[in-house]
Amino acid sequence: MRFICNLCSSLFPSLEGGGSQRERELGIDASTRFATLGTIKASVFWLLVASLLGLISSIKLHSPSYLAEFSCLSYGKVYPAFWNVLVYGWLFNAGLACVCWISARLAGRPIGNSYLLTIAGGAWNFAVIVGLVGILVGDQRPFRLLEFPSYAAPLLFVSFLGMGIWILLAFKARAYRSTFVSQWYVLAAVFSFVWIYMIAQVMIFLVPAQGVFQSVVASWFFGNLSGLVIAPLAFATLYYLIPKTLGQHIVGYRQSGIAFWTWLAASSCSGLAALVNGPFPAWVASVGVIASFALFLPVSIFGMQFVSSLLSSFSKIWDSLSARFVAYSVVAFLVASLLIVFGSLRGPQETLQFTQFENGLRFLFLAGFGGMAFMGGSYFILPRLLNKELPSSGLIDVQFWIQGLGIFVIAASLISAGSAHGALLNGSEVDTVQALASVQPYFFIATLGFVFFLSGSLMYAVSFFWMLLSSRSEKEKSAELLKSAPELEYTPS
Amino acid sequence: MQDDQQDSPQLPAIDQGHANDESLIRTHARIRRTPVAASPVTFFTSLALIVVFVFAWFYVRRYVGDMDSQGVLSSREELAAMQAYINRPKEDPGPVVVDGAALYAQQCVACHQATGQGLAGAFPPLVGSEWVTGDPNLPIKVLLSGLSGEIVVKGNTYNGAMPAFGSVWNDAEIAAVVNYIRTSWGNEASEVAPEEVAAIRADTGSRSPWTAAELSEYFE
Repeated sequence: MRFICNLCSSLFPSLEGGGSQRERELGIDASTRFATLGTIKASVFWLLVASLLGLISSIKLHSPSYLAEFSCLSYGKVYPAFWNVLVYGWLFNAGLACVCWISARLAGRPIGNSYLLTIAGGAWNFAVIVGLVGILVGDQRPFRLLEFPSYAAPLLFVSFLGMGIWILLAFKARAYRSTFVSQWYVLAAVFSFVWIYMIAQVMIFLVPAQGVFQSVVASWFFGNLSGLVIAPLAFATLYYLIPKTLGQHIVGYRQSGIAFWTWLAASSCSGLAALVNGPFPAWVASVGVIASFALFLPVSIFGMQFVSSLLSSFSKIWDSLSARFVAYSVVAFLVASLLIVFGSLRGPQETLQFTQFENGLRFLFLAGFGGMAFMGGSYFILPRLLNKELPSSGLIDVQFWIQGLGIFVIAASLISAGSAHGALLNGSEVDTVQALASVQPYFFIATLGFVFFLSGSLMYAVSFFWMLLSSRSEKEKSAELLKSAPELEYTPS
Repeated sequence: MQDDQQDSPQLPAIDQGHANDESLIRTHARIRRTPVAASPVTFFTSLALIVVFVFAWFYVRRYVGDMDSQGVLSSREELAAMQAYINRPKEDPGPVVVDGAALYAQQCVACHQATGQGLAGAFPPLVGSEWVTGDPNLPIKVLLSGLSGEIVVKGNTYNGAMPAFGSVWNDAEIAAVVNYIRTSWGNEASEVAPEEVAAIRADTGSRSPWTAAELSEYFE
C-alpha cells in the first residue's frame, strides 16, 4: 500500500500552498470542490428518490391497493428499493462527501487526484442507478441491503475502492503528525466496507456458504453496514463539526480511543443478535446479544463526550445551522443505540422480533443519526466550497424542524406499531387479521411522518440548488466572506 | 440567550468556523497527552465497563448453550430439560413382534399370490398344501435353504426354484412367515418358535437348495 501511495503521490504531486491559514484553506477547498459538489448533488437527488419510495412503501402498508396496477412498484420491490437507495444512494454519498472534505481539511494541504474521486463517485452513482432499476424490474436478491442484482454489485465495490484509495491518499498526505479522531473513523469506515462487502458477496453469492450459514453472514453484514460504515462516517462528521461550529473542544477526548476500539469490536458482532430463536447454534445469537449489550460502553462514552460538549456551549447551538443538526443527530444516536441494546435482549425480542420495530429503529439510526449529521455537515461545507452564503436561513430553519419531526414521527410510530403488534400476536386469543387491523393507525401516522420527511427533503433540495444557481453577490465575490477561524481554546483543569 | 437573540434576530447565513483545523488537531492531541488523575468521564467509563462485563458473565453462563454447535437450545433450563427427557425412565418394550403378513407381502406374493393359491402350472399353492401344513420343520427347511427341481403338490407337478431366505431373514422372521402361511387362508397348522428355526439352521448350515428326493422322509 505504501508503494502504491508513493507512486500515486509521485505521479500527481500536490503543491504546497504557502501563505496564511485562510489561503491554505481556500486552496484545500478548491482542490476538492468539483468532486465533493458532485457527490453532494448525488446525495440530494437520492434523498428525494428515497423519500418518495419511503412514502410509497409506507402508504402500501395501510392501503395495499395504492399503485397496485404497476408491477414494478409492488411492496416487495419498493421496500428494498427504499432501503437500498436510502443507504447506498443518500447516506453513502452524503457521508463520503462530508468525510472526503473533512479528510482534506484535516490533512492540511491540497490533496489533488480529485479526478479519482470524481470518477469513482460517478461510477458509484451509476451502480446505484443500475441496482435500483435492477430491483424494480425484479432482479433483486433476497438479503437485506444486498438486494442489488449481481450485475450492479461489482461496479459498486470497485467504485468504492476508488473513493477509499483517495481517502487513504489524503491520510497519507497529511501535513500534521498528530491525527484527529475523525480520521480514525474515516479509515475504519473505508476498511470495514471493503471487508464486509467482499465477504458478503463471496460467501452468499459467489461461493455460497452452506445452508443457514448464509443467514449468519447476511445479518452480520447488515449489522456491520450500519454499525461499521454509516456510523463511523457520522462519528467523523460529528467529532469534526462540534469543535468547528461551537469552538468547544471535545470533553473527555482522552477516552476517544477506548470508545473507538470498543465500538468497532462490539458493533462488528451486534448484528448477530437478530438470529435469536432461529435455527442456529445458541452461542451464535448469544454472542450477538452480548456484543449488542457491550455497545453500552462506547455509547456511554460518546454520550458523555457529545452531550457535555454540546451542553457547555448550549446557547450557541441554536445560533448555528449546522450545530442544531449535530444536536439532533447526537440525541437520535443515543436513543437509537439504547433501543438497539434493549431490543437485542431475548426477552424483548419475544415481542419485537419480525415486527415494524426493526424498521423504525433502523430508520432512526440511519436517517436520524447518520442523515442529520451529514446534512449538518453539508450546510457547513457548502458555503466554504462555493464561497456563497446559504440562500435562506429561514427555509433551512423550517427544514430542520420538519425533517426532524418527520424522522421522529416515522421512528416513533413504527417502533410503537412493532411493540403493539408483537404483544397482540403473542396473546394467542387475538385473530391475526384483527391484530393487523389494530396497528393500522400507526401506519397512517408513519405515512404522515414520511410526508413531513419528503417535504423536508424538498426544502433541502431547494436550498441546495438555489445556492448553486443564484448569482454571486458583491459580498460573495470577496474571500473575506468566511473569516479566518480562531485558535481552539483549551485550558487544562 | 436573550442577549444573543437581540444581537442576531435571524440565523446567520454562514456558520463561521470557531476553530481552525490546525489548532483543532494540535489541541486535541495535547488533551490526549495531558495526564488527568480522575474525571467524571473516566469514572463513568469504568462503570460502564464493569456493567458490560458483569452482564456478559451472567449472560454467557445462562444462554450460551455450552458452546454446543449442534444445539439450538439456548438456556440452561432448556438444556437440562432436554437431558432429563433423554434420561427419562424407559419402560421395557417387551419382545420384538415380527409381522409375518408384512414379510409375506414383501417377498412371497409375487409367486404364491396374496391368496396363497399360487399360479397354476408355475407356482405351487400354499393353501391346504401338504408341504406347508405337515411337519413344521419342512417349511422351515425350505425357507432357509430354498427348493429346486420337480415337486408334487396336491397332485400337481411343479418344476421351479424356490429361493433361499436363510441369509435374508433371521430366525424370528422365518418363524413369523412360517406361522403366517400355516395359519392363513384356512390353514390350521401348529405354530413354530424362533428357537426351532435356530436349531434347524444350526443343523443344516449353509447348503444348496433342497430337492424333493432329499425331503421325501416328510411324506412317508
